[in-house]
Amino acid sequence: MSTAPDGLNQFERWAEPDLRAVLESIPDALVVVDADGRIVMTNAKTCDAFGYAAGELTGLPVDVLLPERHRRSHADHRRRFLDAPRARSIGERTGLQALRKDGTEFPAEIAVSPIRTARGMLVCTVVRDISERLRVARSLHEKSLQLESAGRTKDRFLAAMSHELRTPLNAIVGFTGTLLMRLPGPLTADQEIQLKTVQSSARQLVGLINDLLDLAKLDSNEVGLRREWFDCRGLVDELTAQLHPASTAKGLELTVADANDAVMVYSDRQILRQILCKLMENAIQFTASGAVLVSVTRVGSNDPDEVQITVADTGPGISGEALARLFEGFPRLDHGGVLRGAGTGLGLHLSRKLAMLLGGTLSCTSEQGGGSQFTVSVPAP
Amino acid sequence: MSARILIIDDDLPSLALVEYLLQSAGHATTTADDGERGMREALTQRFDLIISDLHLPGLTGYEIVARLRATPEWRRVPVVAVTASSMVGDRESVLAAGFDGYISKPIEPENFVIEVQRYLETAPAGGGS
Repeated sequence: MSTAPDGLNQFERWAEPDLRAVLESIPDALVVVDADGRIVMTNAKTCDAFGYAAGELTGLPVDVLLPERHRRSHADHRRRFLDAPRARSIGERTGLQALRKDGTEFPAEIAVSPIRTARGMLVCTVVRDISERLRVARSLHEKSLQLESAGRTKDRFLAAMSHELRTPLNAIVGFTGTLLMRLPGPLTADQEIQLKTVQSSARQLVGLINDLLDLAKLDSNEVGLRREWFDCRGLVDELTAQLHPASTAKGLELTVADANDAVMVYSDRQILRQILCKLMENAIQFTASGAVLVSVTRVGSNDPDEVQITVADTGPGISGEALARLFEGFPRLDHGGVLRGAGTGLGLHLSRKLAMLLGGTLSCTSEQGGGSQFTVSVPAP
Repeated sequence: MSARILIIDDDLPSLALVEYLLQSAGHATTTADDGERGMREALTQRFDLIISDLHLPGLTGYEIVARLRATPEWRRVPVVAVTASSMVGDRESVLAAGFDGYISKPIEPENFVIEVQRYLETAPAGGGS
């Protein structure tokens, strides 16, 4: 039946039924062409992909599978290939188009192998339709552009929210402060108590907004570290002095254990300060009577590789179940969604994330009725 | 020591707060609630200190400081940014833009006057060049 006698006959002699079945099972189109560029064999996938009936392609010039504009360069390619035949794997040439019988085209990837036969060189080409893959790649690219843009929108939103939320708080915190400073005139005892309540609530709100924004910044990897050598012990002393009025107001003793030498650490001072400040504020807030004790310890033998700071309180302690969920963020939310106690638990969640950012850890040991100990460890390095 | 201080802020409660605090401390204040008005005031009077918000209608705080720094006569007047934005890098970008200081909102009224005093003391006398 064929007009391409040599190659075809050659091939058909080998094509035992089993071998034929193997070729038909290949999921890519397979086109075998002789040295003159005539198709001597195809598999079923070829007819499918190019829209031909079974056997219809055999004997036709391979050019029928190429868009008109590629035919001249394809002839050159074939000539060069026959001069120096070597196998080329799939994907080595990109941007190829294949032509279907109905005139439509599809993007293709090819692998070419020379087959030496007694009757001359045959060229076996595997053709893979990559339209689906290109479509997926395009859609992924579009999705990634959309995500990028959504990320930028989120950043702008955060910046705007930060600004919008803080602006009215400026007047609330500010004028409460001026009244408490008695700049406009004297206050009664009740006025002072109530204004202090406004002040502490407003400060709590500022803290919450700051924590939320910090968390958002951490989640989008926007927090850069600024490491420097500093005295951890000095940092604790500084915070103790800052929080002394708050602890004194509650009748609590706030002390630093065994005053000793400087404990140098190479870390981000501002971030460690933020973590410690949160832990110490919490300890003061949740302890009704007794003391808050802060200790700074070197861990390691000669060359300290870690510095641990522990904030221990004599507060009510935390039950096992609550302890397990302490750092999850919003653990104070009861099942009914009602806030229990003060605070949202967001601060501890943020603090642990910040400790991890420093390459350290934040943990808690506590017993109900037996106080709590929060320990932050940072590499020294 | 009483100083002449220009306050630029489009949030009127914030403007009133800063004005009240500074007046209580004995300073003479001028206020402007948008950037253009603030710029006009800055160029018509000699101030010891300018306290400006960053996000302003008309001209932004950044534009105001850039224009002042480009004018020999006003180049050395200290300008402090008081802003409610506190995103990463804000402080750095504010100082790099030519501001002499950065105070974030909400301001702490107990410390605000002391901080302002510090800027007044470290500023070159007279504000002119």
